Amino acid sequence: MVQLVPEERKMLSGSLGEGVALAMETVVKVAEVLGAPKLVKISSAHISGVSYRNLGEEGVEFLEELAAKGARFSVPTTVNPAGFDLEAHSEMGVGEEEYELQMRIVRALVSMGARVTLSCTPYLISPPSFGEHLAWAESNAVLYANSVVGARTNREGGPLSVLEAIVGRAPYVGLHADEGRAPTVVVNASGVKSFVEETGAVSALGYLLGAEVKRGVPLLANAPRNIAHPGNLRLFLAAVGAASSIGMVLIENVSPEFRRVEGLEEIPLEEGELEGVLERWSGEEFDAVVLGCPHLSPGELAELASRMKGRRVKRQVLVFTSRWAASRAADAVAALKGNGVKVYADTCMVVGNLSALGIRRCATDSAKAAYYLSNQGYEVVLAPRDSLLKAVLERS
Amino acid sequence: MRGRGRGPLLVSAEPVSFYGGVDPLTGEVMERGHELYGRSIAGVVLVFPYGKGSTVGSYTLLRLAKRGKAPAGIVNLVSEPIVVVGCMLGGIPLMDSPDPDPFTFERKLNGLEAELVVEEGIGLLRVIPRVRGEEENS
Repeated sequence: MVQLVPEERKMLSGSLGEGVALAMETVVKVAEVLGAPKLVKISSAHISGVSYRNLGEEGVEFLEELAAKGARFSVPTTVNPAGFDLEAHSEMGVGEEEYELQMRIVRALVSMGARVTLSCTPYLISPPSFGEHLAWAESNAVLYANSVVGARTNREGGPLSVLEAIVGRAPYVGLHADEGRAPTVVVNASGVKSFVEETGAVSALGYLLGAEVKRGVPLLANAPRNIAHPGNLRLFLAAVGAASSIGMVLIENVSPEFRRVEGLEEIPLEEGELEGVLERWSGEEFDAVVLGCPHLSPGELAELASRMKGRRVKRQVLVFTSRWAASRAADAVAALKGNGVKVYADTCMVVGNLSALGIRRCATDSAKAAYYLSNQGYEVVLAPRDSLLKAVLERS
Repeated sequence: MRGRGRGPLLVSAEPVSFYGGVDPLTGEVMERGHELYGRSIAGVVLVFPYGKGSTVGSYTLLRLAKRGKAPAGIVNLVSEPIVVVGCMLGGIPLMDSPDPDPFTFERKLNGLEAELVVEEGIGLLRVIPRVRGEEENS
């Protein structure tokens, strides 16, 4: 039985509106199914499943109905990327019908009180604090919040996060509770440490860890030193999320809750396995380099711009970021555009439509993007950012 | 989820991924290699162990329900949030932890007409008798 406090029972009763009652009924049912003893108040929510290509007409109607029934988000709520850059939709080959469908989603979310961040990096835009409970749905953001910040959220799921944002609560279970945050398995990276440090294959490492461990809270021992670089950390965690249902990795010198536990099963990672991941996405040819899964930070945009000084691109380079980061790094964005790089905000290569830009084969530094793009039928090359840039830059 | 639904039983021993695994417009299972590949889940009482894959799958169940292509009811061995949320939004009756376990006599069940009735805290999957009845409770 899920214990509810009077305020929660009031939401359930319908006296606060039909939308609130439906949201509460569903959150309580999920809590029951997951074996949560109670709900916990959250300080923010992050909604995934925002692109019109994921939601479809009926998903859009669901959000509109909730909004029409008077449901409002009761906590600060951010949202995942949309299907295209809202300010460059015609350039991205988006038709009027698709544009209108996407804007209906945005309007419904706004009318319920969401902040239209349209980014998978809410932890950069409105950083949570250690120990806070959140209802975040985007897997890379969940992994970042738990593993790097020490905030607490499960992989709540897109539709559920909408309902949790309305009631301001999540089931108190899994990564919300102390006992759910203890390491369940040790992953020993000593066999791949020097390989990753030399090649920069941090994203492939994340994918391998996810594929090997699949669930629970892995503790990463003997982690490569370059994993602690902020951009690498995001690439690593995003790849873990794409390959598994893991919501937290404990990394030495990174995770505030890192602690060694005796007697856990130990999984060694081997160099051959890592090469296997790289081989899966190892083509030679590509039409475009696509970066920004997760969305590039202002610092990464600046780094990229300085890297491109005095050079131009031989092939298409597409960079995906948040509107927040693009405005913070406006000079870098202008410089990148001057170098022939296409910079898009609000969207990404995974939820957008690269084929409308004439791209069939792409190269990326993100194993998460590689996984989803190859599922969508694209030919994909996975390689570290540095070697991709070397391949496409020439002196101007 | 409370409710009542009737249709032929369709039993899958494999977990089902709704997002990407089921066509949201027709209800046809699109996941290659899946034992239900090419079958339609529209109007059936669908029995499978649990849901898997992306949480966008909840919206797929809602989309099917709005088009009249959703299962008439779902029976899961173990409920997980994707299916729970999808059934809640789509108004699809959902029963979990059936006893006895329907997979122990899966072959006998497939294709039989069944009625699923779920009320507060209790579900009943009733196989419509042709000669003699079979019943199970949870």
